[in-house]
Amino acid sequence: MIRSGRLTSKAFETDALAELPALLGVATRLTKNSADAQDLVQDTLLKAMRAREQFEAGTNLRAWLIRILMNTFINRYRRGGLERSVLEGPDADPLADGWISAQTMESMRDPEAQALRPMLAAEIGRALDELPEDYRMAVVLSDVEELSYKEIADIMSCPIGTVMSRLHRGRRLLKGRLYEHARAMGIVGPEAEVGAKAEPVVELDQYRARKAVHS
Amino acid sequence: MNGCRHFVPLLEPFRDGELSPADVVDVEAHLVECERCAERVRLGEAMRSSLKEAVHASAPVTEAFEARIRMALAAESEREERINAHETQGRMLSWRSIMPLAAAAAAVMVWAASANNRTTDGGGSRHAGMDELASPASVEKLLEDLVSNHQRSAGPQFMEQGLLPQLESEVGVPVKAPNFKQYGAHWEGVSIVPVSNQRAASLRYRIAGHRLTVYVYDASRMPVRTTLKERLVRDEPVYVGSRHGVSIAATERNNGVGYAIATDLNNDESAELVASIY
Repeated sequence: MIRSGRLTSKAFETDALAELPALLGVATRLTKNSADAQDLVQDTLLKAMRAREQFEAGTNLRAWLIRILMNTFINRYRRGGLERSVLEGPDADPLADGWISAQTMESMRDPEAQALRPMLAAEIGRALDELPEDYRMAVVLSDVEELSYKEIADIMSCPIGTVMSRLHRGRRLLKGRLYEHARAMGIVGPEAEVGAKAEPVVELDQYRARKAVHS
Repeated sequence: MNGCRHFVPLLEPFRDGELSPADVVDVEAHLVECERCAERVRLGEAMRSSLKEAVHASAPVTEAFEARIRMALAAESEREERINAHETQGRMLSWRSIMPLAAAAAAVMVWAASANNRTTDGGGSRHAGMDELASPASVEKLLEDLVSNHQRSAGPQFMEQGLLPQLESEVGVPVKAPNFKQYGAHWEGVSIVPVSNQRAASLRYRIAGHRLTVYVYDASRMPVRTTLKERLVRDEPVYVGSRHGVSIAATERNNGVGYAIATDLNNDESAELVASIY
């Protein structure tokens, strides 16, 4: 999809419309309200259309559009300081799946009855909405919209390491909620043993550094 | 040998496709040996697909929303083209069949305002009360507007039926397209039109070569039925009359939505059509 020079408005429109589901999905998770989400997507696309010469041909249009969407959202609904301090706080508890057995994980992953799937999807949507915004966005952008860490870092204006820890914490919280849910529904039994030694969170670059020393 | 402690932090970047090829080889070798980490990866994959499903199911792109976005983008590119045409003289404007909603609404406001100026003889209040609206003369004016709009040959502003829900903010009542399929009617499109100093949705159909306009309006503001003759079709009251060779039939719903049909079919046929909207 490499184009030279100014994208015509028609070409832009065609490409941008293909990203509507992604944009609306992200906007809905941001605003938690479908009317606001639709307005946000419209604003985003109009801004993007006007700024389309700034789009670098050959890069990911979806990532570029989501960046505009995010900025529009932040400018319109300024985030309160309270939530921020929670988000940026230190990682209170370490790797939480330390005490969930592989067997339990398997039951969570694969509830035997297919009829449970929609309920599970609804539960996951709710759990997602309960995450702090930065975690929620990292998870949505990575797992749902399949953006790279670098693209997410650009969108969220933070280092890649921060993207990784937000993703990790967000996913861990989700997994915890899913586990509670699965247990409440009797999909999994209660874990016999709690409190296996917590595994520390190691950043990827730390790991690489350590590995380089050993080898 | 490295244990899970070393590999767990790599599992997410591994799933996300963010590891170097060398790290990928290490992780894959570990996964073969370690069922627990393998299950971690599978659970992560399962959550990813459930998340995708959950997010997209909760935010479906409806036809109406897509149409709205298309219109907004079309309006924007038209605006751009106008500016460009201004800059490079002699360049042809390319016109779109779909006019932007905002521009259309603005044009109607201007049009309605000027129509209003013509009909109010000096000093009269713009905000006509119901009594004034219901006076025979003003109702006749209303019918004239319905007929003359029906006879106008300009094409509809929008073709997509999916847009109708958005017209509620313009018209003041929900706009739904009556189903005339049983009469072999073909949908042509919809416009917002000024009627007296109100706005109505004007839905265009064609039945066997005859043009049919269905107005949807706020019945409390447009007392269309008052000077027409009541008759019962299948026990429901409809209001029927002719002006300038055009048959008009109106009905009102309990929820305050008025429907009026203007057509060159005869009064029996228009009464039948409007009664079918019940």
